[in-house]
Amino acid sequence: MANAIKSFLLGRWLGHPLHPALVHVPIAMWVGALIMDILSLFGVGGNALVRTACVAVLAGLASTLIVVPAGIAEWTQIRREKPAWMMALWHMVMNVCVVLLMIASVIVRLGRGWHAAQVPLIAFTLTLLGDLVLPVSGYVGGRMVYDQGIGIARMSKKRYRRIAAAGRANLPPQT
Amino acid sequence: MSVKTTLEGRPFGHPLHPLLSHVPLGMWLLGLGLDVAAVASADRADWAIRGAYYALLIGSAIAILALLTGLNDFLDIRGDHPGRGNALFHMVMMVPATLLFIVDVVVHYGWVQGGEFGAFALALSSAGYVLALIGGYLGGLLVYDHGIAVGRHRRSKELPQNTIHEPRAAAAEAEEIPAARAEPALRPEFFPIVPESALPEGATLRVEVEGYVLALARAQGKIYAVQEFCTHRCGPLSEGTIHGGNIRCPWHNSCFDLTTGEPTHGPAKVALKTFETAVRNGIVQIRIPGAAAERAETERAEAERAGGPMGRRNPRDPESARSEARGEQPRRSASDKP
Repeated sequence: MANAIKSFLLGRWLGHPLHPALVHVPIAMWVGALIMDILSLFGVGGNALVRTACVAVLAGLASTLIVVPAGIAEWTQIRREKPAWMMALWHMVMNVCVVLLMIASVIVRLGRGWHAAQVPLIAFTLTLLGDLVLPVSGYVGGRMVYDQGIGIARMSKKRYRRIAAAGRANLPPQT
Repeated sequence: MSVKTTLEGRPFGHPLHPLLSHVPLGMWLLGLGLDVAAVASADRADWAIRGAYYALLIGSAIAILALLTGLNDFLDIRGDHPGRGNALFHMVMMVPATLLFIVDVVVHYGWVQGGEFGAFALALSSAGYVLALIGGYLGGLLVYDHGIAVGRHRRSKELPQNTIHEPRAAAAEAEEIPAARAEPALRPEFFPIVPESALPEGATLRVEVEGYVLALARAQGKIYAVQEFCTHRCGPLSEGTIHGGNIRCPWHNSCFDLTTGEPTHGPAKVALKTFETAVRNGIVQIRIPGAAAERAETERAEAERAGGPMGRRNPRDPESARSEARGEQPRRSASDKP
């Protein structure tokens, strides 16, 4: 059972790691909310834009219910001695901060913010703080993929082994 | 740094295209969700219509930037890369998706102004998002299956644009190749490949000769040929980087000694095949051991099939056999430089 859940969270059923596919949602929702807040502070959009930003922050939080377990499943795949293990830990710590800030922000948005014509400054500030940490954390996450190769060729290794064998490469015995 | 490498994100140590693509994928989803809410609500929820309009506007604006960086990244994929078809398919999904959402933004503007465009807007958002989901999945496969852009930021040189086939065996495309084709083999097992000038310090090329796919690299002035595929997950070493006398795989950072092929840094544990190289008259030649014998064997088999006499070509050139007996080695590239 635990294995089945882990396999699901790693995205083996999808043929694509699940965590990096799903993180598009919270990242876009929270960055989008900040853009909407800034527009709102310039007097654009009125209550409609304030509510939309609130929905965006909320949708991002909802997605973390699956994004976070998927991320933790990925973390357990990284060996302790690899630099990516510590990167993942920092990535997680930063993301916890972001989530807490967004929760605080959405409480204000759902409360007195829901009927406001302009985003409450406190909600905006909390989202802004979260969005200062988010790109740093996202960058670390991206570096794990593009610099450390986490998740790369995990699902395509057989295919690439065939290509390498056709190119008469020396390869380790098949496991 | 050129515009191309900047758009690739090399100066930032992270490709720009997948980073930018987060915003449209999320904002278009928000727009679609709000469209559903607006159409489903009894009292025509004005705020949701306006909200969808803003979300789609933000998503589509960033999508245009993502499109530019994506096209730029596409230019860097080798012509015969196994992921190239996938990249093309990704583009065929994402360009129409972006165009649909741009139309969708205009339709939403009309809806906000009071027009009865609800069903049309929802249909556009849904169709666009289906394309974006397929395209997004394919984009993910480019990274996670094919390793596109992985480790690319470490390179200061261009990626190999095509596999160079052994010039006498294949119709070559590059302009410099005819010189290599005219150059006779140093000894029977040597194959002239490219002019030395095609391989500046720190550069790599992807070469295919006698069925072997090789990475050709110049490190510390010397020219080395090793198997193209990393022994860990078969990553493309010709897209890797040179560090001293080592070549580093772009995918999981395995390092190999270019002289011996032995791994010097994990995760790879198995050595690469290495090949002797030599330079004569400015042309890099690679030695494929046993190639002459193999070729003669093939020709003999073909001759037999055709019913003709065997032995059209002697696999062991007597001249080379004599020089081998004297212990002579072909000059290595390092000592060949004037």
